[in-house]
Amino acid sequence: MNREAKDYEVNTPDEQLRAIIDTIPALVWSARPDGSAEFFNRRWLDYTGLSYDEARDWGWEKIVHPADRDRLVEYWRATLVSGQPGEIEARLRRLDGEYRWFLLRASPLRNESGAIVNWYGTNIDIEDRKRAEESAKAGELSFRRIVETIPALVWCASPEGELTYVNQRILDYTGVMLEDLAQAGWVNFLHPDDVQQTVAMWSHAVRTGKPHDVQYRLRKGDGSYRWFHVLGQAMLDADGRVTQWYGLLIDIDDRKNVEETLRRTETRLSRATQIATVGELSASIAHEINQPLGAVVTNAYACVRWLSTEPANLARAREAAERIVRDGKETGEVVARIRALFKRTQAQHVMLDLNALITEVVRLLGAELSRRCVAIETELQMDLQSVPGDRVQIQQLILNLVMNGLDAMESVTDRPKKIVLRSQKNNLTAVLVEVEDRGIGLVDGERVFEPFFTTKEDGMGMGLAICRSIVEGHNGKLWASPNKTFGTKFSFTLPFHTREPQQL
Amino acid sequence: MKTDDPIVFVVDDDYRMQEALSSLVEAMGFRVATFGSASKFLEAEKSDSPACLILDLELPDINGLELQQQLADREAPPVIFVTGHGDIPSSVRAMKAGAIEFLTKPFDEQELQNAIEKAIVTDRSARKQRSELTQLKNRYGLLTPREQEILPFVVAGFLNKQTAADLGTSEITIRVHRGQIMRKMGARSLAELVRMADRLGVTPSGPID
Repeated sequence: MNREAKDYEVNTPDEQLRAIIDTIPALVWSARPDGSAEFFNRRWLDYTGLSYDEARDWGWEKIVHPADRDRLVEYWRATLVSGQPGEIEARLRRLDGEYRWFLLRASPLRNESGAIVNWYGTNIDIEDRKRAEESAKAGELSFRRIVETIPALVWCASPEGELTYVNQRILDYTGVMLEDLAQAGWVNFLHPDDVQQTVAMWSHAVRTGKPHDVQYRLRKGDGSYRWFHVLGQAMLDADGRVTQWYGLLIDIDDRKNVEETLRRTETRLSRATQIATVGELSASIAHEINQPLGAVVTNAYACVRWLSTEPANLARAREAAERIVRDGKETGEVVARIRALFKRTQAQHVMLDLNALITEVVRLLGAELSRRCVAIETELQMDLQSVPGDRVQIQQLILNLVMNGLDAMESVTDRPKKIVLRSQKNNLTAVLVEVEDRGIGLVDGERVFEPFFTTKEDGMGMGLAICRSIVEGHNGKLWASPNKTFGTKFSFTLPFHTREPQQL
Repeated sequence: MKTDDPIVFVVDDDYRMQEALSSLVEAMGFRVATFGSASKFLEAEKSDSPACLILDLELPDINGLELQQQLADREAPPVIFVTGHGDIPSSVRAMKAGAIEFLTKPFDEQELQNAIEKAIVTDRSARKQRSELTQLKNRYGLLTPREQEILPFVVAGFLNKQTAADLGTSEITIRVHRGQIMRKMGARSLAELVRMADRLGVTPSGPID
């Protein structure tokens, strides 16, 4: 400033004004009422590298970027006609040939009668601002392009949970406009069965600011539904307040269908092994029923005999009749028990006493065990905490493991055949059950759980695979390990609590 | 204890079946004793009467068929098998080993009664034969060594003269011995003595081991 000021003799008010005009950080000019230029300040001339004579009148036009020139001249002429101040952006050439963006402003000076005497103008360099704007615009454009292109459905919502933006894919999918989806309109596109849970979970997310994670079926423009995994994340400000929700819908319909098919197949297979087990155990089941039934019939004969003696022995007859009632009831219970074991029902989780289930299986297998000359031992922990689970499935699981142990000992002749069943608290969270045999042992402790893996001649190879799927369906674990001496130990855990549901 | 009243032994691990069988068999007019396992039956002191054994095929300790085999070496009562699920191989084995009957639960009482009665008759006759044999053995024990030496020659039909020559003694001595044998054995004729020797396993014409 000071240095520049020194270039001038600042004596008169005119000279002072001139100094100001040449010094202010803008290109300054003036023009006649017809638009021809008559003055340029030093900065203007320095920037363009033109001499005054080169620039005067309309000479300045040549430093305007060719692409902007017509537009600028046209605008300038229109401004002259209107007599109103104006402003326009255009690129002006610097003396080194580079064009920079300027904001050009012009204002008229009028005399007392209102006629325009002169036009005064400033050109301010806005190149940097322009660049920033452009890069911002380009950035936004590229973001928008990303959001519109990624193979997912994207949405934004206000802190109150109001939908504010959805990407084109959502509009294409639903076949409607944002207005139709906003103001909870999107709820109308959910599968009726999913509405309640989804709305509850979204309200919960909005209320707490915690991530939104839900799966629902969304109606397509053609009326069909597809499964989506929906994720929502809140953006928080420095105070932890939600400023915006961003969300994603991922199409998981194909995966869902595969899962469903798999589950159905597994159910059918499990049913098939159940039936196979019934077949295998039919002799034991018959024995289990025949035993009390035989007693009933025998008692009935005895009762009739005691009544037929002369004189009738009523006391003995009564005793026999009482035994008939007792054993008859028991036969019914046996039948009910076996039916319960093989009944086809929807999985139903209730609190289960595993010790009781183990005892039950041992009882059912009693005849089978003695037929195969196998001793069975149980080491059950007293006061074992009950676990939630499906009675039929868990019983099936224990039964399958014991049957598996029996099969593993089929060819054993050089040692007593024995199965040990153990129950105990594994840790603070689960019950551990072990089924130990003295069989031929395993070659591969992990492969046995693979479907269709079998070492038995008539085996289907599904027993243990189904066991594992049952255990995993109960959030537990099933594994096999070799015993120190002979045979294998199968262990499974069942947690005291089912996993906390994610919602609410 | 010795009585001619027949007794029925029941060996079944199922208490319900024990009770029921015991009552029915008693109502049929027999004495009954029940056992929960084969070993309990083997250990028990049993009365010396005509008997039969109702045996469950599936027993926890000793399998019914094995018990039957063990009993075969002793003077055991005839066996009637009962089973919850009779399979053909087991029943064939049981019958071959001399079982009276093989009944599948629930069985008909008449079949059971017939089986018991048949078993008792069988046992009675077996017991009679056993006691006759015992008596014979006792009588045979009264013979002097010389008489036991001469008996095979007698039952083989050798003349006294031939026997005397063979044993290096006189005909008169043999005749005396022969009279003693007939008297001690209680045989009224040579034919009867031959039958007795046969039952005792005395082989004609050869020396007794």
